[in-house]
Amino acid sequence: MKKAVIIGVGAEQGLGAQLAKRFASEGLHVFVASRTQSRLDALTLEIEQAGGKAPPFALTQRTKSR
Amino acid sequence: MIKLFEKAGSGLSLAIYNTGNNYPGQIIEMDAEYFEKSWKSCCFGGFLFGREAVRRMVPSGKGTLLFTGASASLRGRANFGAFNSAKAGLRTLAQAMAKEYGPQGIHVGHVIIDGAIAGEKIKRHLPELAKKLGEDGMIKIEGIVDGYEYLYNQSPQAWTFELDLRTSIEKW
Repeated sequence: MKKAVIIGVGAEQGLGAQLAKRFASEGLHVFVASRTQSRLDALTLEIEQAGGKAPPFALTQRTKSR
Repeated sequence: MIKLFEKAGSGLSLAIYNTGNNYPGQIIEMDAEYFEKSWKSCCFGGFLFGREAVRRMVPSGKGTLLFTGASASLRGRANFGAFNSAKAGLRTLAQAMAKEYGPQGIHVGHVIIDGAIAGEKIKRHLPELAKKLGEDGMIKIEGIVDGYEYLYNQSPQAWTFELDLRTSIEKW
């Protein structure tokens, strides 16, 4: 399965979320990241209910750039 | 961010960097920290993200890396110097990466969104502006997503580097 990584999915109905939903519907396994866990969970649920795959990933930890 | 790519693992075919903070501020009273924060979100983060994406795509010789830009990517505007300069930096980074990794099979693209997006953000945080612009004055999200999908599905024999999207009534 092809995979996609999308960062910037802050708003439930924002561009990032819509991109995630579109590419998930196209069959890509979408990995999304957001600072807001609740929004991420809602998006993940929506994608999975539509038959797609999108494990959530919260950008809550600040890690040193490598 | 690196952990996100590590979680995705192999088989990465698409990466989209869609962040930005369109916050205003006059230069004369702007803290260095404010400027740096804008640069980190709009430009430096794009470098980290893009680097991780191409590190994983180059070995397979294919992949699409897309960056979200704005009208700010092309021009400076009073009171938006921090955002403008960061977005312009992201655009030239994207262009450099397109030239650097295109020959290795990686399609790097930049999408300029020229105007307000008809999404949750403006309706929730700037309802008066949303009302003033009206549905015809805001860019339809589905149309923007169509643009990203178009870029993703392009053949290497006919790649677009940049799309600019706006409503029919946007002055530009």
